[in-house]
Amino acid sequence: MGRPATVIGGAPAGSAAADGPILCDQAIFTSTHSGVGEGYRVVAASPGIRAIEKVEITRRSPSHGSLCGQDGDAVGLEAYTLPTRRRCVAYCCHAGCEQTARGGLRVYTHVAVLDRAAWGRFLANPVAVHAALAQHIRATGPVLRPAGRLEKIALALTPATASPSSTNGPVGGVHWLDCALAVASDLLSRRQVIVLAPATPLRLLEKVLLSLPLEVRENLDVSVGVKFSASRKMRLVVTAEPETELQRRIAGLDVLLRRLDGPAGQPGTAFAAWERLLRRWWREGRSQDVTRLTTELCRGISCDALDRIAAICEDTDAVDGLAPEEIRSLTARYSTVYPPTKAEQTLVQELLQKATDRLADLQPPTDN
Amino acid sequence: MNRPYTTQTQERDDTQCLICGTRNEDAAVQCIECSAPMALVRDGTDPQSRPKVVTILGDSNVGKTVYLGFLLDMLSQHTTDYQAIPIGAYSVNVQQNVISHMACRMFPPKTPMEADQWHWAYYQICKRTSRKEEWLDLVIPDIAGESLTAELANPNTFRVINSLAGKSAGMLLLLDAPQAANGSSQPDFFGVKMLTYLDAVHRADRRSRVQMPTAVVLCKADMCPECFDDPRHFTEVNLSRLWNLCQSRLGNVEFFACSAVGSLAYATSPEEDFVTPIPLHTALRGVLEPFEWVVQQL
Repeated sequence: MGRPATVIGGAPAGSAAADGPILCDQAIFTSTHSGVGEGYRVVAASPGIRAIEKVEITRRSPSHGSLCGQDGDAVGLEAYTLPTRRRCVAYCCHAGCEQTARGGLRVYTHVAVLDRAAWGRFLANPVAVHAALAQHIRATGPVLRPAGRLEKIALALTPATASPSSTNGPVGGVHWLDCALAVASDLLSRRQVIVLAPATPLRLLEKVLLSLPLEVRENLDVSVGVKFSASRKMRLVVTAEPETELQRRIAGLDVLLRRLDGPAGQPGTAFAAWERLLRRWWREGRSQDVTRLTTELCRGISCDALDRIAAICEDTDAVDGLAPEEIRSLTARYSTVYPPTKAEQTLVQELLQKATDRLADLQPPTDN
Repeated sequence: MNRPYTTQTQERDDTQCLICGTRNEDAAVQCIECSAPMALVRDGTDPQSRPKVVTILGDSNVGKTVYLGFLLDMLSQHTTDYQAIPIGAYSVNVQQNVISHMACRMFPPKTPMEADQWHWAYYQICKRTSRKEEWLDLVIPDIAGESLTAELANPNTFRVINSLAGKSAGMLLLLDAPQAANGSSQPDFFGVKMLTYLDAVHRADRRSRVQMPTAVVLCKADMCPECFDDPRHFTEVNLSRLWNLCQSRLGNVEFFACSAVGSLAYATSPEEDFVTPIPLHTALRGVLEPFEWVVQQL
């Protein structure tokens, strides 16, 4: 385990050292009774949270009965962009009975508001921020009656919170990696998607997001474990609700409903090559390669280039199994084209270098 | 207004939301913008006109859901000159929710803030007199108090409330009478904020008052029975800020007291850190009067 998250007072904004905890603003949205109000509202926020950010947090946070699980240990996640362009990641859970005791559990939402630098250090992965928030809430418990001023929160970026899940295999008989990649393709096609996933929703979300180029995922509004509500305006909702009721509610909305065990994307559709490459890389445990591709190489490129990039990566991987003649043919093909994007130029250079190295390896040793 | 019961719609645009006016897809169940049910438009009984909207507003936990549930139940049981016919099964949900919970001696659960989870009641209201029947289509949403509070604090947080306030033909403003009687300023300030908000929505200037019929309803009056004797005086004394604003800004306002619960018990156990209020029996008093007054003004 890494160092526990702690609340630090009076720290300058966004001043975390490269290896230290990440400081960010925080807010708490829940239902309490106080002298100034009753019911669900932002009950506390650190001074850096602006009024328009509180409005957006109020609009998007789940209220009574809005978590998918109705038991005490149900957990939800929300991640969205605030009007100030800062990113908000929310850890939602139940915190005892609803304060009016009219039935049901109180929904508690602890929100971390990250500036661009802090969000970048989490590689735009809300599941990692969520894990850091979970560590903090496990240590302090839900803060229902904040004493005094709420200061910035220090989120620990540890291997436990920051590393993507390495599990890709079937869960409960369902190969959810296929579903994750199909959803990633939907999102690249600018669709709004709901995934019905009774189990492993956080891992599913993480796999979806890490299969997207950084610039796509860093502005993606998502929720997991929170009931679908059109007013929350999320691009991706991973939920567990009765399907027929959900279908009724989304009628007439341009929303794609997928089941975790449903069919994957149609072969030959957009981003099929990208989907195929990432499926293979995830299954081969090449998460470092996926991360490099999505966060470094694909920076600043349009989604149209992803299939071309995937094709280059496939060809690069294939070099190891090709005969010298085939390698020369491949080299000749790539030497005559000028890739339109920097990512493709880099990848083609790497391909050509690998081909050269491979040909040298295959060269029969000379006598002298 | 006399009119026959009709079910066919021809002239009306079934894709335009009744509340916010946004155009939706034909198959949409809820408005994409404000989450109001599209059935409010499609189920309309009069192809020439749209139903009137009456809103019940109040702070969180003041008893809006209980009030609305009992009101609709009384109307549908034809206990007075008024009767109500629900249009669409969804309209019965709030009534059923309240009656079934209260029959089990429980208050209904909190209304979620998400507008797509609200109950909407669409009723044909008929007033029978010896000589004629007057029919009126009414839509009454069960709004979450927290959403109202958030909207009052920052207008346009929930667009549906802004649209409702602008579309409303009448309003019932519910206030917690025992809280006010105990010296809390919370109900008073909530009422003042609500009226100020309405003032802004209706863009009333200093010379013109808001003419929308507004019934100020003092709820939970069983816990301070004196407000039944003279609701006006109770408001003037205990909710003085609201009273003054009503006098200066509202052109059509009346004051009422009501209660739904006859006696209340409180339950807890050593394992629980909260107290559960238990409505032992219902004793409805003053529920219909504010509604009847508003309907008469429409």
